Amino acid sequence: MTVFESTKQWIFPGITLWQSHTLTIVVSSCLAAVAAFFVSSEHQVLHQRTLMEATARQQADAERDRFFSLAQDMLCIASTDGYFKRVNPAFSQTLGWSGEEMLARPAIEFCHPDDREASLREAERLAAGEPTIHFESRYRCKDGSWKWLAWKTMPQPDGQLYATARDVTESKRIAEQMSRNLQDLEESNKELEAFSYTVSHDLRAPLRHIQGYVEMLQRATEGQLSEKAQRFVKTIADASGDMGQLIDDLLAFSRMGRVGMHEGIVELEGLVQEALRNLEMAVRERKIEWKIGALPRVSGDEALLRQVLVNLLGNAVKYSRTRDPAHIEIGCAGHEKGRIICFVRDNGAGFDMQYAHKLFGVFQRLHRAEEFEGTGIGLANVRRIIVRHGGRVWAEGKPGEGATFYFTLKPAATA
Amino acid sequence: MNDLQRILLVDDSPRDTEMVLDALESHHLANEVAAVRDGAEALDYLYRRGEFAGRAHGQPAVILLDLKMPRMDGLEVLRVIKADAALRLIPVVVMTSSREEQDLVNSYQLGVNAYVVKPVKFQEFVEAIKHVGGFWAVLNEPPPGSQRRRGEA
Repeated sequence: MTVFESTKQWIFPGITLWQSHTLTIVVSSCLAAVAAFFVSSEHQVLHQRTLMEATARQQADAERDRFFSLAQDMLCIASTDGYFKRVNPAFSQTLGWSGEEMLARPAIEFCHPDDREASLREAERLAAGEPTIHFESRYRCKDGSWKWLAWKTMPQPDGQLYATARDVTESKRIAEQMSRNLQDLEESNKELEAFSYTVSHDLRAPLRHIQGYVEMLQRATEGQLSEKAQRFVKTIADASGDMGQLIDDLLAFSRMGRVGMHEGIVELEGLVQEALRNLEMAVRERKIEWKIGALPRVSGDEALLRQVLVNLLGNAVKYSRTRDPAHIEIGCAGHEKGRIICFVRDNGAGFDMQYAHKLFGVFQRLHRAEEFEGTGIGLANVRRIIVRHGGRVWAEGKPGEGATFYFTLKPAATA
Repeated sequence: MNDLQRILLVDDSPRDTEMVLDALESHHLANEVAAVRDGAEALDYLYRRGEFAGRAHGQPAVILLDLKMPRMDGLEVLRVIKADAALRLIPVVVMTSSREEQDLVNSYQLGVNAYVVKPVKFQEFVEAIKHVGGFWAVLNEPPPGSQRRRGEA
């Protein structure tokens, strides 16, 4: 401060010594204050920076802690002694143990006895510095149940393990259930195949015998049987014939569900012509006015779709046989969910809409066999084929006014 | 029993056998059939052993083989026949109730010469048997060493 004192007189001329002395004190105090200010502010900046850094760190810590607490996955740090050092609340939420309980026992004690060996092997790998990408083990819950945990673990150079675990109990249960379902399905498919094999061999043989022996009986008794007796014999033959048809239809229907699909581009118009050729016998001596609209190329199994058209056109021909002329129309009726709606319409016997749900059932018929022959398998086959193609089939009709059958098919991809 | 017949019919069902014989009658082939009741008997016949040890030499012109039979089924018989150089040339026609694809595939893989599904309707059954018998036992020229038509050299 004396440095400033020696200069005060020429700095402040006309001021008494005393005054000057006082001034000196004043000035020096001011200077001291200024100096002190500068010195202290320097401190303060430093201090403030540290403070800010600390706050940022605290903030980051708080953020991390918040995430740590919030995480739905289990997060933990385990140390080299095999104990958890820190676990997040998700552990308690999943397993039911408190955080303290989790830290109080070696981690391996929570592990299912059957999974311990694999867990210890995994721990060895981790100790060698190799991270765990995926490891599953069962952990015991406080209520005694077990949960499957999927682990991902990263070892640190100091031997500490940072790990996350996810509760995969439910997804494992679903996967197991699905594989069990699949097994059951394969099993029942095999049984079904064995069943239809047996049906096709063992049920047809006695029928063949009935028919054969009736025929041989007729030949052996020619001219000896009364008219009534002949009618009985004929009824036996007819009945066994009906049953043979039922068995054949049922087997064909069962095969329809199992046969492999060979998907390709199918020209529906060509298939309609083929189906019509198939029906030549049925349309002979009939007056039918056909109206065949433009039909698209679709994606599907040609043999199966041919069957659909043969069945639907065959039905249209059959159920319109009392009409003169019969009108049968085939065409497209727009689109539905990217699929083409095709239809077959006739002006035949029709049906009551309240029974529409029965139309496509196996062996379900809406007409008596005396009115219209058939076993009731055709539309069941149609439905099965269309459903296997990912489409749907439905019908509209009115008794005495005809019926329209609709089905949807995927259009062929345009090249 | 100890004669060599032109047709070896292998079927476990006596009814089917009777119906086949009835159908073959119209071709006058019925008395040229040796009927056995399962695969084991069929092999005994072909190898001239067991109850057929004393039968005349030579082989039938055709074997009509049912598939589903007790003891040894048709596919097993077919496998033995087609694996034996001495029997391989005998035409084998599978005649069965089933048109199951697995049977078809297996039969052809084992080298069957024809596969006929027995029709349920008797008239069709008779027609089928007539065709099969007429073709394989009459029209077809069997391999050397087979039983030929009676009266032929």
